[in-house]
Amino acid sequence: MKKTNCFLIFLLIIFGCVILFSLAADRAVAGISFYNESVALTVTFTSSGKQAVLEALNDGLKSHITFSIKIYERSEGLFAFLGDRLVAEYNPSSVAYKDFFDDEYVIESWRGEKTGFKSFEQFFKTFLTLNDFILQGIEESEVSGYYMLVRVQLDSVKLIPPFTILSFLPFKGRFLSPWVRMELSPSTYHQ
Amino acid sequence: MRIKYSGRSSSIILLVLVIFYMLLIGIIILFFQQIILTISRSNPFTNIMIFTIIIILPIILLIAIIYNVIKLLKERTSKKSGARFKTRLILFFIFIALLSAIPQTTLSIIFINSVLNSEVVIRMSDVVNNALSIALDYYNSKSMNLEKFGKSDLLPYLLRETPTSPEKVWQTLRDVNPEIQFLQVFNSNGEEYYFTAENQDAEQGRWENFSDISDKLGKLPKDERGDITILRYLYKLTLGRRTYFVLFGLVLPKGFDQKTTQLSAARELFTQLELFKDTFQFVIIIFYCLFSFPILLLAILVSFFLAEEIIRPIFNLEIATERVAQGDFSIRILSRSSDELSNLIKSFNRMVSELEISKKKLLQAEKIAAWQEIAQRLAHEIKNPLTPIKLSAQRIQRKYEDLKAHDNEELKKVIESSVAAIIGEVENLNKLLKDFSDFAKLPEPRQEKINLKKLVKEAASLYNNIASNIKIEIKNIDANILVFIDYNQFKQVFANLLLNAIQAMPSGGTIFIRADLVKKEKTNYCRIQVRDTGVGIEESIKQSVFDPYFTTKKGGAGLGLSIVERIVFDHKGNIWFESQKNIGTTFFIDIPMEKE
Repeated sequence: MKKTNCFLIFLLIIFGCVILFSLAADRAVAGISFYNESVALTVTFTSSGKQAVLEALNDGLKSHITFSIKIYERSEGLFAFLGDRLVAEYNPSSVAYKDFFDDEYVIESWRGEKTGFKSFEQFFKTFLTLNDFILQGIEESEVSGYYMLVRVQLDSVKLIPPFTILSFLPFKGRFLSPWVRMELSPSTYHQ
Repeated sequence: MRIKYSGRSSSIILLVLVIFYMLLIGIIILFFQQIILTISRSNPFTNIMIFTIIIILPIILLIAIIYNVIKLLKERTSKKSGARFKTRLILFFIFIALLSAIPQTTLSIIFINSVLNSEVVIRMSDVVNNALSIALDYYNSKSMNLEKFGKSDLLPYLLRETPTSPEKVWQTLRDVNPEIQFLQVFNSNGEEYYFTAENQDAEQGRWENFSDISDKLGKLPKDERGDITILRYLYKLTLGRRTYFVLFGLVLPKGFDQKTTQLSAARELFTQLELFKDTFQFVIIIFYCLFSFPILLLAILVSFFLAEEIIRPIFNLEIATERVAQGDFSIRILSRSSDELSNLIKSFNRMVSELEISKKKLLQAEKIAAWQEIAQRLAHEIKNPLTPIKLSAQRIQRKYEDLKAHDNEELKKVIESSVAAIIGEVENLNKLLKDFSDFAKLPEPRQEKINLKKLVKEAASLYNNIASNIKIEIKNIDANILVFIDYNQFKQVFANLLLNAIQAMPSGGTIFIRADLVKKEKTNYCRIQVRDTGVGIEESIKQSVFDPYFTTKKGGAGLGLSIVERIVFDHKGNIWFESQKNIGTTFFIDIPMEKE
């Protein structure tokens, strides 16, 4: 076998290992429930970024988490090859920071609510969880044939302008789960 | 023949590219802050714009440059005229572009590096950290003082007179701990029993709903109300069987929270700068290069087009000069600009036009002079023997008259017919010679203002009734058109043209005569058209139609159209024709409206 081919195979193995490691390290678990016709989503993110977040917050920086949710309707029939239709998209995100005056970790949700935690463990668990997020505009009666893709991105450091320009580059403080697919039917719980 | 400039569409494309790029840069400058803010939020507009500038535009420009380089190399390989000069021009333009771009880029990079690493930035970072540390120390001291005071053993003693004399308690508290700014007492039912405050700001320390804090004894979390931050301590006071809840606290200086928030934001900025400085520096320089790279590419591409713009007229002039040198005076260069090169091209075109006219005139003059000489010689040579022939024939005739009574009838008839034939033929020859003579001695035109319509009508009237199947239609001739011509000569022109037209229509037809006003360069002309619906002129003889002594008619002298052409030229005019077989022939005559 040529040297070049050996090198390419080696690179592929390394790349595969990196992918597998990252998949194992950061993953999202999602589940849905139904309340009065509304559909509520709960997502829990398991991340290897705990230490990175702790260090960032203690340095006076902010961390950021984004839950990307996409609802699709399966296409059937003649035009199925065109792909499934995107029905709705949600990107709830929260920002976390440390309040040095009260010595607590604060989560500021996409709704503008602030919650303080004295314990980092409790804070981190809450921060990585999207709890009972109502999928606005989606009703239980219409979800048959729908499925959902969920992904979570945790940035241990929330970049502020002008450093947002760095978001184009691979960033070691970024933890990203793979897309999780789940059917929109009662009692669904997928990994 | 016309040489056109072919680079117009390319110039438009280039102009569109330049405008498009400038527009994008303009948008980026105008909305820089918003773009930086949205750059990480996958904003489609920002992404499209950046993608266009950084990727699409340079690719398009690179392709255009490669195409032009290949074209130039081909031109050089094929040793196309002007290729070397064009290369030199392009290299010169690129050199000029790089001359400004390289120092500018270097200076910008140095500037970016120096700004990010400047002493000011480092000091500012230290200042912000120190300021925040001071604020934190201040807050902690106030908070700890309050907590310490709340937990002190002295407090129950100080509060002992709360049910009877809360005012006294307030005074005592203030004496012992001057930092306390308000006091609020609730009874066991949670109803407010007493409240006092040091000042208006401290009045905001009053708690409205006791049930919210009833289970939170001790130091309460800081409370932000507008620009005021309040620290509170809740103490449970038990006096015998009675229980009171005493809430006291202090108000931090106005705007404390906002200021510390600003300091926190500043510290966040400096911390990020410290964390990402090297990467940020690198990315900024890359972005700067990516944004300025298309400008450089545009400059190079512009240099190709500019070189082409400069070379093209010179190249065209070179081709045209060669053609003129080869004797082609019909060549003209089209120019669309109005610069010095364009003026040069116009001058060249004018010079070639004048050369062409001069050549035509010279040829015509030579032709006429040659034919005049031939006609005179011919007339002279033929005329000399004609007189003795005629005299001899007349003498025979007279002698015969004297003898005819004696001779026989047969001889009489032979001599009669022979003599008549000699005389007839001699007269024909005489007429022919007169025509030649007339042609040779055509006088200078006596030009005056003549009403064209009247002249045409008069000329046409002579032929109107010549045959029942020939019709002459005079159309579109303004009754007020006055042309500066020799009346008699132009009457002869129309007579000749109409006679030719009638002869071209043996089975009958219509002759149309019309006149229009046209402008060529700066001269106004009257364009007269005489059109017949006859058999047309054979392609093979079109060249010779105006040649003297050329005719297709039996017994014709072949001088009619030569005389017409000469009269028109004498009037500084021009004559030509268009003819199609079995459809008809149209003669065009352009006569200047003013006398030169």
